[in-house]
Amino acid sequence: MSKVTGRARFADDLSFHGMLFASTVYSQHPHARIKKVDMSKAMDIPEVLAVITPDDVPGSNGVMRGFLVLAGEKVKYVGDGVALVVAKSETAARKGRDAVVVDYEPLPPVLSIDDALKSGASLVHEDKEDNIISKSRYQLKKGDLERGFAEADFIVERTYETQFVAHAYIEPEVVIAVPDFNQEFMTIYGSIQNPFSARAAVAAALGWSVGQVKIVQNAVGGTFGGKDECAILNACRAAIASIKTHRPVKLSLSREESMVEGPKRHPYRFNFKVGVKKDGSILAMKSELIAQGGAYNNKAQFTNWRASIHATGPYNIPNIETRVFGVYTNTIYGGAMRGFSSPQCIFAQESLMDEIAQELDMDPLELRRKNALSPGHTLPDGQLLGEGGLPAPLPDIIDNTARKFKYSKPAQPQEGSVKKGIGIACGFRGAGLGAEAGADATGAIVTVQSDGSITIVSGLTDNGQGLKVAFSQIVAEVLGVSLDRIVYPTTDTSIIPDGGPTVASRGVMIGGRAMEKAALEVKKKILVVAGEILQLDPEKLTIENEEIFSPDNPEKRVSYMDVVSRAYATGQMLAALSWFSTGVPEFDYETGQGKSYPTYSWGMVITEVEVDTETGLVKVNRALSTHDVGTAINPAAIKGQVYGGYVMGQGMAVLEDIEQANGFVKSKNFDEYLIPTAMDIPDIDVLIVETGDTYGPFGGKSVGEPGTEMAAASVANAIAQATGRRIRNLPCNLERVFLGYNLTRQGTAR
Amino acid sequence: MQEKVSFTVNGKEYEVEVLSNERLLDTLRDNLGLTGTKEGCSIGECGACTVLLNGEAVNSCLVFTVQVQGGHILTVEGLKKDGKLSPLQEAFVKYNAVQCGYCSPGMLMAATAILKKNPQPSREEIKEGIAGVLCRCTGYEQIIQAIEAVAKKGEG
Amino acid sequence: MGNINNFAYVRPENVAQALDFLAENGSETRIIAGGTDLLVEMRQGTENFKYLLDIGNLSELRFFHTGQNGVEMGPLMTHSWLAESEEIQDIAPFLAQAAGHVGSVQIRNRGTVGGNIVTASPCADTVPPLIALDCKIKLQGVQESRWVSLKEFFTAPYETVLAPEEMLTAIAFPRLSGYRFGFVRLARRQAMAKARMSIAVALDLQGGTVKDARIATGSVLPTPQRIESAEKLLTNEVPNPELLKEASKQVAREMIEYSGRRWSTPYKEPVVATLTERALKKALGVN
Repeated sequence: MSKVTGRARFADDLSFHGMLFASTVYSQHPHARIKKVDMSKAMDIPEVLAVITPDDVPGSNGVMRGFLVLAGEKVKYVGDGVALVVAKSETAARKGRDAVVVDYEPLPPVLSIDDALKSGASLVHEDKEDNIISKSRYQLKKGDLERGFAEADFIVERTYETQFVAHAYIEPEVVIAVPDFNQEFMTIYGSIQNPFSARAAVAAALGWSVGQVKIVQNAVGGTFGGKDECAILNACRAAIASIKTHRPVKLSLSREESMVEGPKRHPYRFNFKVGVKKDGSILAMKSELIAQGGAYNNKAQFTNWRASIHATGPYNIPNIETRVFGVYTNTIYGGAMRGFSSPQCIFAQESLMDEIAQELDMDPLELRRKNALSPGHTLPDGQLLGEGGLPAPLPDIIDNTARKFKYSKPAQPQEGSVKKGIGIACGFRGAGLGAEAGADATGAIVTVQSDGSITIVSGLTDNGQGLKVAFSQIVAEVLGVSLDRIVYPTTDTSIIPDGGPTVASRGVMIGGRAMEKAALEVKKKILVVAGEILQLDPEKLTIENEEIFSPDNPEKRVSYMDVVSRAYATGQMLAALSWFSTGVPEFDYETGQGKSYPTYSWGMVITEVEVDTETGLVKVNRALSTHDVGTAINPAAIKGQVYGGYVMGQGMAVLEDIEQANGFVKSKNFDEYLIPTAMDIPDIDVLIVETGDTYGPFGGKSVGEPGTEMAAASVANAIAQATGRRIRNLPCNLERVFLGYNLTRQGTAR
Repeated sequence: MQEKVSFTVNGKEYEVEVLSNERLLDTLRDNLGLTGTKEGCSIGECGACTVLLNGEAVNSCLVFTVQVQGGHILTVEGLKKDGKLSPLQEAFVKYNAVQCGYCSPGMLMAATAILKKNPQPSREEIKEGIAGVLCRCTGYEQIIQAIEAVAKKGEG
Repeated sequence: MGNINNFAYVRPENVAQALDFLAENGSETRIIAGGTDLLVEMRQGTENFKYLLDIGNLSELRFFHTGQNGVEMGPLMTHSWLAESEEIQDIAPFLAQAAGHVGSVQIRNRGTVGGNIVTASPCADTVPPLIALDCKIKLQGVQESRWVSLKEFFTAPYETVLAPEEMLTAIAFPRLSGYRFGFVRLARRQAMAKARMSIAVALDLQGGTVKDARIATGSVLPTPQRIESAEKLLTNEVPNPELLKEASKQVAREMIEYSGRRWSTPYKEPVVATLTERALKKALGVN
C-alpha cells in the first residue's frame, strides 16, 4: 500500500546526518595492468574528502570467489572499480571521480568463448592455469549414449547461442553504509537481494566478524537475481569509505554504471547431437554447453549444475550425456537472473525439438506429446515419475494448453509480407536449490505480540515478488486470524539466522515451509493456553476466525485475544523460530544421477507472432502460459508473476542484447538497451494447473521463474514457423529475422 | 548559480533557491523531501520520474527547476484526497498492479494524466499513455487492468 | 545522478531580448525550449557553455496560423499539439502521425517541433514530413532575419547553418491542396524507440498522373533529405507497381551512392526500398 502513495522507502530515498557520497572510478580498459593511480587532482577539489584504493581495504580485498572490492594490479573488464572518491556531494564525488588519472598498460583482451579456449589465449585470471572456470564442470550420464545413436534412424546436430541480457530493474543499485563507532558496528541499507551474502562480504572486507555487520533491506526496486555481486561490492566500498571518513556514505549507481558493472544473464553455447527414430521417439541426446562467465565468477557453478540437469528438456530420453563448463572473458560477467540458466537451455532445447519435428515432417506439438515425460518414466536424474514418485502432469498440460489456445498450425504458404507463426515451448523446473549447494534450508520467526499483532520474520527477502503477502497469508491461515494482524518488518540479518539467498524460486517453497512450520508451533502454544481456559484437551482444539473451540463442542469457545492476554499474564511465550531444511540430497555429481530436486514444476507456453518479413519486425500477438503451481495460493499474484515473466522472456527473444565492442559496453541505458513497453505486450492468458504436489506450503510451488523461462523459446519457435527460417542465436532482432544473420558495427556476426 | 523559483507542489506553495542546473526531480526529492518520485535512467526513457506539470505528464529528470517558475506540479504524494486513496491508487492495489513498486509512482502519474484527458480510454489508449513508463516486474497487464477498471467506473 | 555542468540561467521577457542576448553571448549560450534533447545531451558532460537561454515561456514563439497559402507556426508548438491538432491532421496528416511517434507522452508534452529541427538528429521524426512539405524556417538575428529551406538547413548530423546569434522563430509550409500523404517509420519496438528509418511522401495526383512527387527520408542519409532522383522517376507518370518499386529502389541506390556500402547496408538497402514503396502506396491508398 505504501508503494502507491509514494511513502515506500527505497535505498536512495534514505538520508543520514552527515552523509557523504561516493563515486567509483571505473576501468577504461577491458584488460590492462594498472601502472599508476594519480589522485592528486581529485584531492584538490575542496569538497572531496578521500580517495580510496585497494591499499585502504582494512580486511580482504577479495570477496565472493575472486571478485575484488577494488582492482589493484590489473583490470579484467570495463566494470572493474579502480578507486573510490568520497565527497560532500554527489556532484563533487563524480567530479572527483573524473579527476582521478589512472595509467594503464593495455593487455590483449579475451572477448568470447572462442577467444577463451584458444591455445595461447591470454589469461583473464593469471593465477589460474587456463580460462576455464574451476568447479563449473558438470556432467550427467544416463543410459548408453552410443547404443542410442546406433539404434536411431537419423542424427540431428545443431548449435545454438544466447546473449548477455540485463536484469533491467528500474531501480539502479544504491547502498548506504552507516557506521556506529560506539560499538564497532556497521549497518548497510541497500537494494540488495541477498542480505546474508552481503553481510559476509562486507565483514570480510572490513576484517570484522559477521555479527558486527547488519544488512537492512529497504524496498527493493526489482532484482530478478541481479542485485547481488555488484550491489555487494558497492556495499563493501561504502563501508570502507565510512570507516575511513567516520561518516555515513551513500553510493548510488547511475543507470550506466549499473549496466556496465552489474551481473547479466550468462550467454551459453549449446552443441547438440540427437538420435531420433522415424516414429519421432528420441533415443539419445548428447549436449555440450559452454557458458560465458565474463571477468569474474560467483554463479556459473550453480547455473551450470542446473543446466546439466535440465539441458535435454522434459522428455523421455533413455540415453543422455550432458557436459557443461564455463569460461572467463574480459567482458561483463554472468550472474543469477530469473530462471537461472533455464531460459537459455529451453530456447536451445525447444528450438531443437522444432528442428527435429521439421526433419520428421511432424507437427511440433505431436513430437512433444510423443516424448513428454509421463508417469512411469524417469527424469534425467533417474527419479521416478508417477505412482510412488513425483507428479508428471506434462502430457495433460500439453493437451489442455493446446485445446485452450485452439492450437493449429497456420496454413502455409501465407499471402502477403506479414506472416503469422505459432510457437510452442515446454519446460520443467527443479524446485528450489536442489543438490546445487548441499541442503536447502531457511528459517522463520513468528511472534504473537501482547496486543495480538503477529510479527513475522523470514530469512528470505521480499524483492517485490510478493513474499510478504504470501508469508502473511500462510501465517494468518495457519493461526486462523485476520490478515490485518500480521506485521512484516524488512529483513534484518541480526535477527534471524542465515537463510541463504532468496533465489531459485525458494521464496514460497522453502521460506514458506519454514514460515508454515513456525506458525504451526505458535498455533500449538496458543491451543495449550486456550486449553487451560476452556478446560479442554489442546489436541482437540482448532482456531477459526480468531476463535478457539473444539469441533465436538463448538459452543464452548474463547477468543484469540483472550488467549493472548492470558498467555502474557501467565508468562507463556507465543513465539517460535523454526527451521526448514530439505536435508542433504542423495546425489552423484559424477553421473548427475540421484535426487537433483525434491520436486519439479511443469509448464508450457504457446505464442502467436506476426513477422513483417520485409523488415524483420516481430509483433507478439498473443500467448498462453500454463503452469503447474501445485496449489494456487494467490491466483492474482501467480498471474502477475507469469505476465511479468513472459514479457521478460519476450524481450530476451526479440529485443534485448548488451551490445559490446572490443569489450566496451555500448548499450548502457534504456535508449540503447530496449526492454518491452506496454505497447509491445501480447494478450497473455494464464492457465493454472494444480497437481496436488505436497512439497510446498499448502502444496504451493513457485512460479516466478517458470513464468519467464519458456517465453523466449516459444517466441523464437513462432518466428521460425512464420518465416520458415530458424534463428539459432538470440535475440531475433530486425537484422537477424530479415537477413538470417546479425549485423554489428564490426561487421557481420552470427 | 543560485536562482529563486516559486511554484506549487500538490497544491502547496513553495519558494526554493536552487542551482540553475538542478533538475525538478532533484528539487522534489532532495529539497522538498518528496521521495515518491523515482529516478531510473536520468534520460527520459524509463518514466519513473513522471509528474504532472500544469496538468500534463512530464519526465521530471528532463526539466530544470528554474523552468517551472509559476508552475503547478502534482506528484504521487498528492494523489490522496482527504486522506483517502485515489480510485487509481485503490485499483492498483486491488488488481495487483504493484510488484516492486519502483515504477508505481510514475505509472500512477501517467495513468492520472490519461484519465484526466480522456475518462474513457480504450485499452490501446491506455497502453500508449503508459508506454513511457517502463516496468520490469508486471508485464503491464495488471496495470492496464487497474486503469481500465477505474475508467469503466467513471471515477477517473 | 545529475552530472550537469553549471551555467547562468537567463529568462528573456520577449524575443527581442533573447536576440539581444544572443548577439552578445551567442557562442557561449545554449537555448532551451522543452529540454528533452538538451538535458540528455548535457548529462553526457561534454557540453560546456556559460548561459542557458530559456525561451520556453515566450508566447511570441507559440502560435499557429493557417491561411489559403499555408501554415506558419511557432517553434514552441509541442509534439503533443502537432499530433492532436485537427488542423494539422487535416492539412498534413503525415506530420501529425510523425509527431505522434516521438518518444512517449511525457516527451511529446515537453518536446517542441523547433527543438526537433535545431537538434538536427538524423532520425528526428517530424523533419521528413516537414521537408516533404517544402518547409521553410525563419532564422532571426538581432539585425536581420532569413528564411531557409529546411532541406538546406542541415549540414551534417547534429550540425546546421544556424549562426550562434540566430534563433529559430517561425516554421512555415505551403498548403498542398489535393496532395496525398504517406509516412512510414520503422523502429525496434512499438513505442519509445528511435526511428531506424523513416520515409515521408507527398504526391500530387491529377487524373491518375503524378504531377509532383516528394520523397523525404530520415536516418537514411546523414541528414534528412529529399530524394530527387526517385521523385523524378514518378513525376508525370501514371503510377503502377513496377514504377513504385523502381522509384523505391532508387532511394536505396541514392543512399549507397551517398554513404557507400557500410556495415548496415545489407539490411538497410532492401528495407529502405520496402519502406519507400509502402509510403508511396499509403499515399496512393493502394495495398
